[in-house]
Amino acid sequence: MLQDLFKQIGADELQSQRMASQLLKRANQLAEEESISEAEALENLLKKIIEGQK
Amino acid sequence: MKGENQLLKAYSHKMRSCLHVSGEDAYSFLQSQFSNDLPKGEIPFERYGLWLNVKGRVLADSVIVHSKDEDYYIFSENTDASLIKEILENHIIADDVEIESIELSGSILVNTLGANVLCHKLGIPAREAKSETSNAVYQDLSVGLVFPSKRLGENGFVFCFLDNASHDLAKEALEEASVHWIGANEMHLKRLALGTPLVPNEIGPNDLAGEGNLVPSAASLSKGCYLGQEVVARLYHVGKPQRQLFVMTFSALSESDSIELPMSISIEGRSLGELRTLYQDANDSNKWYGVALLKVRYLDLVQSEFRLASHPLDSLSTLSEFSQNFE
Repeated sequence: MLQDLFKQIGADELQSQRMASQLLKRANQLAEEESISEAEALENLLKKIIEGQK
Repeated sequence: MKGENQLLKAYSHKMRSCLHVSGEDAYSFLQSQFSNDLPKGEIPFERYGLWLNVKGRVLADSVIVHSKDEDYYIFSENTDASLIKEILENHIIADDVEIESIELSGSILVNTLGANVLCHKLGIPAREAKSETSNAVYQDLSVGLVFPSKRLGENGFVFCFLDNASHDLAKEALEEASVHWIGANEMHLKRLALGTPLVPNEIGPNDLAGEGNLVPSAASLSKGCYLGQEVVARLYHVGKPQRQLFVMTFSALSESDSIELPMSISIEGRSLGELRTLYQDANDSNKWYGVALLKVRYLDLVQSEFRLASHPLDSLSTLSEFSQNFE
């Protein structure tokens, strides 16, 4: 699903795969740093991506 | 000073930030955030530039140094590592980038003569410090990092030390060679002579790069998109800054005049700007240079009416004009 999101905003197959896995890695880092759940961290990152597209 | 070798110059200082940036996306990530263009490829480089916010305001400045592989180092003399790290980490989303802070024991800026002394003492191949093409970067994790800098007004290098032993050894070697240590005030005068503002003290988070003589030298107009780029380009191409950084010269100030900085400059109830820093001339102790951000439309009023501790202005020039005439 994440991969599809990156494809929709213009990334190719390989890029979107890498970006999706990196996004999950970053969500994990943020969850630890900010003591929040991984889902919440992922939601925050996705919001930033969507805002960036506006 | 007597006994000093005036040809061998060094400035010892503390680097407030040293960040190591690595990862497959390190280059593209830094290129998207930093205001100056970073060369692509395997060539080692050092670049001075800014970290802007989305409104084009100047949050901090840095030198980015690239030595090899996917390793990049961010140095800043005036901004804490934690702030630059925070600025960058706010924008890491789906990028393979790691940022870690490195604690340095100290840094020494030297001219090429000083660099040769240090290379010899520290066992660094001399060719690393001889290059005048300003792309020689030396990285040795047992010593630190060496990169070119022209902040002394001539070719030179910054030696950043990771441990106290190398740092002490370097200082000793320079002392033995009768180095002329440059003080902070003298260094600021050299900076003004080069037309470079002090970030964030003279140009900071409420100011634009274009107001401080930083476009295009530190904020590129040709590299493409980066944070704050639209504001930089728009102001440069279609607008004119309402405010600009000026150097005020006072010829009769005394050290006993108590002046608190930053100082708001207002005349007849109108706010005309702010005096941000003040430096003493190297030869004449009564002569001082103040750096102020002023509203351009009120320059005449500042020139005729402004008094600093009851002393009138001797002259007023933009930072770039000042650098062309300062000796």
